[in-house]
Amino acid sequence: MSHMRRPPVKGGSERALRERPPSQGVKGTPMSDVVTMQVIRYALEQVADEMGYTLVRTGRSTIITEIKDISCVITDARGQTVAQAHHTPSLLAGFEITMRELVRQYKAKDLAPGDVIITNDPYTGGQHIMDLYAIAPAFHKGELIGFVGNITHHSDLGGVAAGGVAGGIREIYLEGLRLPFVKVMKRGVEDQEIIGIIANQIRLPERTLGDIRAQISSLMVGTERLGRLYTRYGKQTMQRACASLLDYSERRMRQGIEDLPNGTVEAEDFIDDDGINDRPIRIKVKLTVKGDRVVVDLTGSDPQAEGNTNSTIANTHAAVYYVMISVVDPHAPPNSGCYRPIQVLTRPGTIVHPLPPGAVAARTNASQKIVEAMFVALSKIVPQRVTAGSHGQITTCAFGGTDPKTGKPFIFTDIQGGGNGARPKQDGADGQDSHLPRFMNTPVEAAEMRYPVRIERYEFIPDSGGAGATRGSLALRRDIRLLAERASFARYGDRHKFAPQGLFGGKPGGKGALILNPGSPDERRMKSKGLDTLQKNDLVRMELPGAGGYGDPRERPFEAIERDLKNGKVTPDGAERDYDLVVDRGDLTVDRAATARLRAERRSA
Amino acid sequence: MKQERYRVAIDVGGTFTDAVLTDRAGKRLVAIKVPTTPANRADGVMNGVHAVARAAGVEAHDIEEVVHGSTTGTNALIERTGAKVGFLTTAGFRDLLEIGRVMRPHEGLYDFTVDRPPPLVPRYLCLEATERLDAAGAVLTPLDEASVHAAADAFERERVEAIAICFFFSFLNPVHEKRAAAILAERFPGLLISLSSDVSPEYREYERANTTVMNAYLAPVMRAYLTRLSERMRAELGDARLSIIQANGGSTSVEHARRLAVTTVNSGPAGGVVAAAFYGRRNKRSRVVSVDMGGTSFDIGLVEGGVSRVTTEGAFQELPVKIPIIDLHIIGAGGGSIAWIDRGGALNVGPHSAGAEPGPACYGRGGVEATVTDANVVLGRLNPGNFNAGQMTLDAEAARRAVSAIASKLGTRVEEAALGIVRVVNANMIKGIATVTIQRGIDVRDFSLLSFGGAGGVHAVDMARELGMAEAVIPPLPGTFSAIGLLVTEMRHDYVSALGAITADKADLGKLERHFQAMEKAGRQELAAQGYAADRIRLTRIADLKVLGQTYELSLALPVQDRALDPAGMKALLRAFGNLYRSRYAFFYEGEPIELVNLRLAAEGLNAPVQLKRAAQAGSDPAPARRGRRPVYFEGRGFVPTAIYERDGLRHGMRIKGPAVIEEPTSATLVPPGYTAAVGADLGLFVPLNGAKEKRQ
Repeated sequence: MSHMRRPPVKGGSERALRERPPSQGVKGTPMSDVVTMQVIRYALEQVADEMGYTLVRTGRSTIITEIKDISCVITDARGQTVAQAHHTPSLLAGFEITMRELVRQYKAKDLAPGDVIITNDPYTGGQHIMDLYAIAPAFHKGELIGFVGNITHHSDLGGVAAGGVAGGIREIYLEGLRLPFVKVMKRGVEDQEIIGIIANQIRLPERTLGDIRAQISSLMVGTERLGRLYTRYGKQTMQRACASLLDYSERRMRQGIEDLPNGTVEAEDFIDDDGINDRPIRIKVKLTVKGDRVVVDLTGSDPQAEGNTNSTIANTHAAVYYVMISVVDPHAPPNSGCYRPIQVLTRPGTIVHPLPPGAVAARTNASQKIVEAMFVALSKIVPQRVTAGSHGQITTCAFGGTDPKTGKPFIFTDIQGGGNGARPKQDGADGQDSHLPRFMNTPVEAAEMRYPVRIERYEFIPDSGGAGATRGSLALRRDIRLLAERASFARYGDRHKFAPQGLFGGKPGGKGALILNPGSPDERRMKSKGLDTLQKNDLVRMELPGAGGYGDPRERPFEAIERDLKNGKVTPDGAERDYDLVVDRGDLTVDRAATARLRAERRSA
Repeated sequence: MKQERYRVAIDVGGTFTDAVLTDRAGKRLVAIKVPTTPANRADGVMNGVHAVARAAGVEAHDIEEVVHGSTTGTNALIERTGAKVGFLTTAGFRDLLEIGRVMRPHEGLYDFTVDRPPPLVPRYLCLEATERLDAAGAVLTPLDEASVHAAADAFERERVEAIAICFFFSFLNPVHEKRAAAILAERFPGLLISLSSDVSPEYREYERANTTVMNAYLAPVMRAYLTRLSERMRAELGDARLSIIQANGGSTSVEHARRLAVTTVNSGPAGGVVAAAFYGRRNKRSRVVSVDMGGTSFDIGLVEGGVSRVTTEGAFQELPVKIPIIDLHIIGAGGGSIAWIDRGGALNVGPHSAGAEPGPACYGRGGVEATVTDANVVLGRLNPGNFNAGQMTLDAEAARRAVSAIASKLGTRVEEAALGIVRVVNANMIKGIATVTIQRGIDVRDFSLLSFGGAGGVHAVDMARELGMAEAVIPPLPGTFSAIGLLVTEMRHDYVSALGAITADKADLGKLERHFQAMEKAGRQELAAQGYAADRIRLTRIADLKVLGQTYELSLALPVQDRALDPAGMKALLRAFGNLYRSRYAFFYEGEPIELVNLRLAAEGLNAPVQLKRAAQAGSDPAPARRGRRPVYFEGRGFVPTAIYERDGLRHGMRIKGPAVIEEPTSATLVPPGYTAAVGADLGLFVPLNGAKEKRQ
């Protein structure tokens, strides 16, 4: 049974849109529309960025203030995203589906200025329980003109594990408080009954409610600024500009897709395991380019997992949209128009389209694999516009216990990426984020001042970047020691078994590992996904996955290898093993003559 | 002793060096431009000094001070020509600089070819010392001196030119940094060693380390430059003092600038914001958005309460710096910005610029792409026959050809395309202004837009109107306005005491008072050494506060400055914080605990104020300044006969009704139909907007 989900095409048939000459807007004189659209686009992006700024400044958890695991959007009255802040691609497409559901449930008459609706239901367009959407209707002269929304990762929303990021969970009910659409604020007044329900289910009500209030502040700033734009430009101009903006992005995407060769390409990638059963889970992508449209068929992916590595539909769509925008036209204004030429096919009950009561917290292990598999598939038709395999997961962990200094509970959530893939003409940027997340790390000093932990090491792992003509990025190692008496340690990560893939002869990147008390008698490997209890002074070493190389390592210029040797990013042993050469160990240079001999021998062998 | 003594400001730009001279009382003001000399910038500076002295009829030996806005640091960062730095940090964190905060630039959201700029120090020069403090500043692992010596051996082998040290939690306790510095100083006599506890003693290790490294990176370059310049000055001007502008908008001594070179980056644009604050204060405008529109860049600053806004979360060339700097936002938009059509059919302008060579098509130096300047020529807003003090004639036909190419792609007439270019570049600049205003919770509707730089006057009214601002102001001498800012800066030193976050209402006020007093003592000493008498010293106590659990502070001056910190003073501070918080972030939940993060002190040595020339009062009729008319193109109206005025001919009290163009040697101002510019006492142009009443000039 194949289930098709297709982004709605509004404002005319696709055909009509396609045939519109490129310089024209929707109606009226083309020139002034084109210019007005650009002017309003900048203004809308500004409002979205300002919402994000307010959220970061007023948030309480370091996951908001330092890591910035947030996103902000502005939609039209039908819920279509017209502008978004420069945040996390993984969170954005979720709005599309959540908003579709919201406008179905709430008509304009059900909404008033000062209303704020929250939800985190993964089964109506949400991400996982910890990611809470807050959405406010915006009005101009008493009429609903659109919505502003934000989403942020919370440090706790209840559930079996402090921080809500335990792996190996079977049911959504254990992952925390699952909120349908709920008006937490009505006409500017907080609903104390709702607040009370939330406060009763969570470990750090002050912290979480503070973060929800930061979300509300951000929405209030957003509705006010959006209303101001309507006052400035008038409803007609604003709505026409927003419609043009969606059409414009759609047009850019269609033109970009038309430049891709037609055909169907396939690829797959694997999640190590679901945290319960020790067997890999397949993500399969069949991607078809046909004229100015793309169909991404994920129906060949494995059935829904028993553990919580399932990717919610919003997250699945976000992964597909991210890759297509990134390959086709990375500078198109990212809005709903971009999604129109892309059809995503999924089958309910699969790893990329789970059904309740499946658990989903570790969803990024699946969605990042969609990204990886899509890049491999696309490498077969546009080899110059893809990257080699990246870390392909997100290692999210939370330490929860009692802070000995204050006697109060604490939850320290930390999020780490890893290496990012080598690019056609550039090495992967060492240790920097890439693809779906766009996060910052938590400064060591900020973490230690706030939480009973000590971070003893945060550094590159030499030789973890896949060799290639261009090198995959090095992975990171982070050692965290617990200073509290005991604490829960919830986490999900991946790529402990399946390494980041190389492309076109490039070698795979290093695998990840989670090691408890390395170098001590009780050293042991921990599962990538799970929930354990740590004791005081336990040290968790997170070794993140590296990234794959691109192209034949023997094509890598010796100068680049020597630079890596000098910088200790590649060891002499690693260079000899991975690049098929001989290193002069005295001055860390490539011995050209010996290398030529070695390569000649190996060729003839 | 000499009779009259003079002060000279030198602002070195990419193409021109601006020189402005004033007397001790600040009554005379002479401004000129000389070419910048990139090969040896000190030559350009001295040429400027002598040229402006000649123009003013003043003996070079009568100059007592040269105030200098230098681009040497900025250029070294852009061109990556700073020193080879050795970086020493806490064991386990060698990769601190390269890992950074791991976030890609926002242009790289979907474009995976976009990277952060690489760190200033490569990995092989980043070494570790065995030592560690805890989050309270207590020693966990004592400094292993052998590890410092091992690093020193490597630095010696690599012949580093400067050293930066950043240990974890050194902002709470610098003991290990100081000891390591002492060891290294012995090993490398004469080498500048930058300590993070000295340069930027605040939490967040990456930002602190990067600031410290940048200081080390620039110090040798600045030292060489300043030494060369000081020698030339001594030889040619005798005992005249050289003062260097800092990014915080204050000036400082050569000694200080050599030690804290990072504070001199972006000091030229900072001068512009200081000038705007000064001009606003003179004209009773305490809230000003300052914009400097040149050929390639558009610099935006903010003035509140008559003071230029300072941030501690800035960046130079996308690398964060954690020191107080004027809150400047620089975007790639200017007269030279190139217009282009993207594949979706939308018109874009910039960020690519035609620069000075080949320049806009109308310069006739081989440029063929349409720029903003070309669009302004097509629209009749710039006078091809009177550009850059008449030293240049613009090729109007070339401008038209270039804009036509855009017009045909858009399927519209050339004038409409030109108007589109102007509107899109304006939208870009407006978004930039919004970034430094609205984003900081500031409502621009109460602000005046002060617009200067060569291109500032042509776009000022349109931008201010679009932003809903109360008024557009074009100051006198807009072409050399930033240099005037250098003359009005005060000597300034910033100090900070990190507290590591303590709950404000439980704070030990005596201890806080001792922190302030220690900083005040240091400030007074430094200023006294620079020759400021006690009555010319101004000290401002500042505190950084936040709501418990948040990580971002708001910085505010203590409401009570003139007596020791007591419970009433603390209460006033917390009340002021609540008000500021509410105005920035819409909501403030009363009763939440407030934390104190840092105490700061701004120590200023006050200079004599500068007087701008005052024009005589005249009637409101501007006819005496009228220089004919020409057609100028406006939105929705097409070409309209437009009166042309000469700015030098204007007098205080005249009113110029739009449409009008007011021309002067290095700039022009456009007054669109329906608006009226009033001429101020110092020949400033004031255009009330958006229903605002005309303010007093």
